[in-house]
Parts: sequence; structure tokens; C-alpha cells
Amino acid sequence: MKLFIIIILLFCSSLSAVDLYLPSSAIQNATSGSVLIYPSPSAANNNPACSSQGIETSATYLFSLEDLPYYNLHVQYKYRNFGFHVGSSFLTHPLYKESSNSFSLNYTYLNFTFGSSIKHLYNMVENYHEDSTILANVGLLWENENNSTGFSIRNITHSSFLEEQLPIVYLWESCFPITQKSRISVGLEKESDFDFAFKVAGRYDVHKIFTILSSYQYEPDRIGVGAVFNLKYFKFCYSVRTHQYLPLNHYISLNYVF
Amino acid sequence: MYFKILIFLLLLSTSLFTEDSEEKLFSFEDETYHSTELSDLLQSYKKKPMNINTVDKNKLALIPWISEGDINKIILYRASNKITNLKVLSEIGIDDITVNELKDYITFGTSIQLKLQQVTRVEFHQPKQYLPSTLKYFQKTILIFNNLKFGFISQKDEGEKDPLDYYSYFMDYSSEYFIKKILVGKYRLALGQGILFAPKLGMSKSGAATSVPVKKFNPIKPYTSSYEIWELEGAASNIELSAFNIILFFSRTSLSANLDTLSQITSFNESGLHLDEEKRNNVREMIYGLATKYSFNDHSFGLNLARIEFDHQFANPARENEYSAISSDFIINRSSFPTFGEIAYSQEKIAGVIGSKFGESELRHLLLLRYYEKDFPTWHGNPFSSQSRFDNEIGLYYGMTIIPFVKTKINCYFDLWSFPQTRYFEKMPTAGSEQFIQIEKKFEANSLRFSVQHKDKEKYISLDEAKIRDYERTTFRADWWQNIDNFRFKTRCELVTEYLADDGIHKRGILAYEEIKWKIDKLTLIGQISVYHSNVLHYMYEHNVDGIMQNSILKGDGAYSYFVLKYNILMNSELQFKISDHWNTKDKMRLYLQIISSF
Repeated sequence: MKLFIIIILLFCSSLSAVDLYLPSSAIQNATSGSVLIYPSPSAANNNPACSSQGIETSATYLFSLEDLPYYNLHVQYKYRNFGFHVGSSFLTHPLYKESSNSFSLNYTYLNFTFGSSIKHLYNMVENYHEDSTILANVGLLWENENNSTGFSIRNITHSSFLEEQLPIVYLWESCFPITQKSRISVGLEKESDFDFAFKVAGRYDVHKIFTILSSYQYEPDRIGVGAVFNLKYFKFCYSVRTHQYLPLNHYISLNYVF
Repeated sequence: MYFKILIFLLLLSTSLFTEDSEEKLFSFEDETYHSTELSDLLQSYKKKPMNINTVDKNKLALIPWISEGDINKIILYRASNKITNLKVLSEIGIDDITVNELKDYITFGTSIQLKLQQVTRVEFHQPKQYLPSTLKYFQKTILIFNNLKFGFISQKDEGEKDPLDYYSYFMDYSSEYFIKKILVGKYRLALGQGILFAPKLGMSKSGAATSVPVKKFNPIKPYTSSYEIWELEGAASNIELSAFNIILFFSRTSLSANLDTLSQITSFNESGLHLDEEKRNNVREMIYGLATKYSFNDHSFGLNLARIEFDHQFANPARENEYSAISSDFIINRSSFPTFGEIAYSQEKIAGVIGSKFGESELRHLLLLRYYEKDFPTWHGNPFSSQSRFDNEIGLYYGMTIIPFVKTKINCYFDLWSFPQTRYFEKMPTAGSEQFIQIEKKFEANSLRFSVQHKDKEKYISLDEAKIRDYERTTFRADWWQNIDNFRFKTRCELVTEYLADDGIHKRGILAYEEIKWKIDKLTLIGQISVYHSNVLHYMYEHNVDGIMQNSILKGDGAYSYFVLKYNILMNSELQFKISDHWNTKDKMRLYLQIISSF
């Protein structure tokens, strides 16, 4: 029954399902999409100005449904002041498929990082429709010892999909260290035709190999919790996030830092 | 059974829905004033402050706003030093706001061997003058002799003919040896996180976002509240054998219930008013059981068993009149990152609450998950919940306490919940959420506090037609305290909005008050004037004579004021007086006169 509801939701709102609602890693699942509190390669998917070198792969069954696996792969490489990111995500179901592939480039000057990305979106509903589009995102990041603040705009190209315009999303996030082991991040997300979504996320480094992440998002109301195990070059993250009506969304990620 | 346990464990790990809340920051009912458990606790600490140099860790933890981190700092410091004043607490890293909150409840010296405490209170409520006997009377006598404590409490409500309408009595023996406590008479029991037994009037959510939701109880305590229901009557003992703590309890008491034509219980009379003598103490309740706790290092595990029997059937077929209940509670690593919880089983129903606190004193988090199956017996329990009857609820609470700068504290919590099955008049499962943020800043002689609380829930509301509607309520509140010599001024401005989105109905109200407190050696005067212009309800906490926590509910256009006097007439006796009135409404005056003696 739940699978049926979700499929119906995807059919009805494929434009949003295509890209903008699904977190691209377990860390983002735990932090409600806040990316500055625990940077990882997939952060560029939210804000192209974010650069964290490494490879990150993530997997989830959306809302605990085995029929709806969702995979992500992100690679980011830094060369001098430049950062390069390629990312890919797939949602597969016999009746419903969607994928996105993106390339991001960012440049750091003093405390500022500027970034932009191009994304290709594809969506197919068996015997119903099939379409693809290209859109662009831009981002800005400012960092010093006590604060990092990011701002990004998704779909600045006002791209359309199935003859409807994809939403334009504005994201702002600021992250502050409270102590050496604790930090907090607050953010706002505004999607066209929707209310502001407020986010707050906390990070606590219990030990150098173990970090707890937690977050709350308002509109819609969600709570996310996750644990990151930091084993030298590898980071393993497991997280869960609530949904108002559907079961928990469990997520795992493996991150290799080079 | 195993299937249900499995389902419950699966829900704990996989399925989180959200639930609804009728909870106010302080749970008070209009026209009903009770001395609550919390009020009693705080008053008892105020009258007999705990010696911070000798008090054990668990008792210290009962002060609601002190954190584990603060307790550890105190324990660590006093192991090799003596805490001599409040400044020491600041020096060891306890923030100034908490120190200021603690000052009335701690002492640095030794305790008294013999003490007599007497409280006598008379109340007159003009709104209830239609009742045959208007005066309300309350008295409490407690004699403390070393480890022994004897108490007698009596009360007469307005309208009652019997001058001893309600009474409580107890003999309490406490020691440091293996028999920690023996209590005979009326008492209250609190175990684990409160699913089976807990004081009923405690609060679940408040501005102390990471401490109040964690239930910290003294397991057995004399029943000193004037609330005429939920007490146990009989005997209880607390025995400590090495790492084991065992509580045995027995109770046989009478309750006032409403019965249908088949003499089945439809509800209990919780008001305490017995206008119909036939309904007074017409149901017998017997409870007996055992609670054990095993503690080692920083962990504790408890197992609690109870048998509850009523001598009448319940009209609700889902409720049994004789049932057993079992629960298991635990605290893991209580000094640093406590994980705590309780799981209970009764009448083939499961209820559970589990939570974890993590972080440092500057940024502390609390996550708390609860699941209470529909028709789980809630009679003596009061765990973390968004409703007074806590069954049929699943939810997740996330609280944060942040101290970003010196003398600045931010508390916020976010609570998501659902009632998975229908309840009351609601025709379908409902969900909701609550958000709260409070920012406090303390200066030399001033303190500022800003609070925002937002609730969004699905609620059965009757307008042109009765149906479930999306209901939102938002409260903005600004408080300013100012200390000038012996005066303390408090100014509040509050804006409340209510919104029914589907119907486009928007109501709002504004309330402002000024409170002045003047305190010199023997005299304390408190006066407050409130003005309000509102289409919604404002819940306003107000000062009272000791032992009463009171919340006024104001609506419409008008003004309200009260005046409190506390005067130390003799060395150990204090006279307390209060008068309150609504300026624009007739017959709303209330009077309180109380004498407190302590020898």
C-alpha cells in the first residue's frame, strides 16, 4: 500500500522527485540537507561552491521500500584553487526511473569560493512519459575560522521538464563552531511556490573516529540523525530521517578521502 | 506477544510517525489550582535547601535545570575542595544563568536535626461563591526528627460540607544504611521514565529543552499534594543490598468514580469536588508490586512488577479492572552521554520511551522517541508525552541547549508526533508538530529572554460543521528582568496567533504586563498588572503563596492584576497573602491567606 502511495506521489510530482528533494548522501540525510556542517564530496550537489576532495557513494531504499533503491556516486578533486566534481544518482523501479548527472566547477579566492554546475535530468514512467532536461546551479561560499556561510541557487536557467518549469530553489546556510568538538548549522531553503524551510543541524565529534549528526527541518517537519565512523581514509555514515506520513528513510554512505 | 515485541522493536528502529500535543509549557487547568509535584519539590528544597557539599548525585539531579555535566563538575570539585559560595560554582564552569536558578535550592552548611513545619492556608474564590461553603482550607504539618518524618495534610474544598474533605498522612524513615526508606501512609511512586508510575502533574516540555523531558524521580515520596487522586495508601520500602535497590510497595485506597447503570466505571472524578456523596470513594483500588534496580559503574537497570485491581469493571471494554504490568528501565553511561529508557507491557499492550543525550555543556542535544500503544493502561503513569492520557501516541523529540557566549543560553526543541489510531471525536489518525526556541541573555542587572513557540496539529474543531482541521498556534514572547536595588521589574509582551488554514480564520491577541517585586529583610511584595486585547487564550504564570503554581487564562479585552505579600512576622513564621482580580469582569476576585511556620 505504501509503495502504491509513493509511486502515485512520484507520478504526480515527478518534477520534484527528479532532482530537488532527495538527499544525495547519508550525511545530508542526517543533516536535513545542510552541507557545511560535515563537508563531503556530495555537498557540491547542493551548493557547487562546496569542495571536499574524495569519492562518496551512497545507497538507500526510499522510505524503507525495497522496490525503490536510490544510489549516488560523487567524486571531487581539487587542483590548486580549482575544484572539480562529477556526480550521478539513480532511482530505479520497473515502472519508474529517474537519474541525474552533474558536473561542477568551483574556484577559491581568499575566503570566497565561487561555483557552478550543470546537471542533466532524466525521468521515465513506463508507458506514460519520458523526458530529460539540462539545468544549471550556482553557489557562493565564504569561510573563516569561526564561520562558514554558503548561498546557492538551483535551476538559474529556469529549465522546464514535461512542459512545466522546474522549481527554482534558493539555499542559505551558516555553520558555527561552538567548541572544538561541537558545531551548529542553520539554514533556509526557499523553493518557488513554497514556504521557507528552516533547518538546524548539530554535530558532535564524540571521538576522532566517531561523530554524531542530528538535525531538524521545519516545513516540512523532519528530524534526521546519523553517525559517521571515520577510519583513516574512509568514512562510513549511517543515518535515518523521519517523514510526516511515510516510514523512516535509512541511508548509508561510504566516503574515501584522497 | 513476541510478534508485538518484534513490531515494537521494528517501530523503534524503522518507523517514525509524528503525534499531537495538548501540552502547555506548564500544564494547568482553568479555574483549578493545585500544588503540583514540581512546586512541592521546589518548595521543599527552598525550605530545606540541599547541602551541595554532601548531597548525593541522584538527589542533585532532581533539580530540573541542572545538567549531568554540571553535576559532574560539582562532584569532581567537591571531592577535594569545599564549595563555599555561588562564585565557586561559576568558577568551576557552571553558567551564570544556571547558578542564579540554583541559588534558592542549595546550601553550603549542615542540616538540622529537629524541625516542625506548619502550613495553613485559606482561600476564597468569588467565582465559586454560589457553592454552599465558599471557603477552601488547606493545612500541612510535618515533624522532622533526625531520620524520621511525620506528616498530616488536610483540605476542604469550596462546596464541601465535610471540614476534612481530604487528608493525607505519612511516616517516613530514611537512612544511609541498607534500609534506605520506609514509608507508611499516603505516598506517591515513581519508577523509570514514568510509564507505570509517576507524579501526574509534571511537565514534559519546557524551556529547559534537554533536561526536563528526561524524567528524574525520587522513587517513593510522601504524598503532600492537595490533589485528591492518584495517591497510593499503604506502605512502601526502599532497600539497598550492595548494587541492588529493591522497592516493595502495597496500596489499598478508595477513589471517587462516575458509574453507569451497570455500576461500571465510566470516569474518575479528578476535580476533588464531591457534591454527590454517593460518588465519594465508591471504588476500591489495590496495588502491590516490586521494583528492583541494579546499578554498576555508571549504569543502572531496573525491573518493575505491579498488580492493579479495581473492584468495579470499566465501561470501556478495552480496559480490564484487574491487570498486571511489567516494565524495564535503564540508564547507560549516566555521567557523560546518558542513554535512558523504559519499556512496559500490560494488558497485551506495549509502551516504550527511549532517549539519548549527547554533546558538551555548550552544545547539548537530546533525542527522545516514544511509542505508546492504544489502550495501554495510563492510570498511574506520566512519561514524556504530548497529552495527559498518553496512550495511542508515537513521536520523536529533538532538543538542543546552546551556550554560544558567556551569559547567553539558547534552548530549542522540535517535536513531531502522531496518534496512529483515532481518539475522542477524531475520525482519522492525526499528526502534528511543535517548535520552540528561547534565547536568554543576562547582563549585569538585566536579563532578556525571547521565546517563540509554534504548534501545528490536526484537531477536531466544530465550526459550521465538525471535522478535523489544520490548527496552528504561534506565540511570540519577550521578557525583560531588571534589578534595581531591592526591586526587580519584569516586563512581558506576548503576541499569540491562531490560524485555521482550511477555513481562512485568523485570530490574534496581545498581552503585556509589568511585575514589580520588592524584597527587603522580612518583607516581600509582588504586584502585577496585565492588559490584554485578544481573541485567543493567553496562559500566564503568576506568583502565588508558596505551594501553589498558578496559570491564569486571559481572553478578550481587559486588565488583570494581583498582589502578593510575604512577611516574616516572627523568626520562623511567615505570613503570606494574595489578592487577584479582573478589572472588567465582576465576581472574579480571589483571596489567599497562608501562614508558614518552621521551627
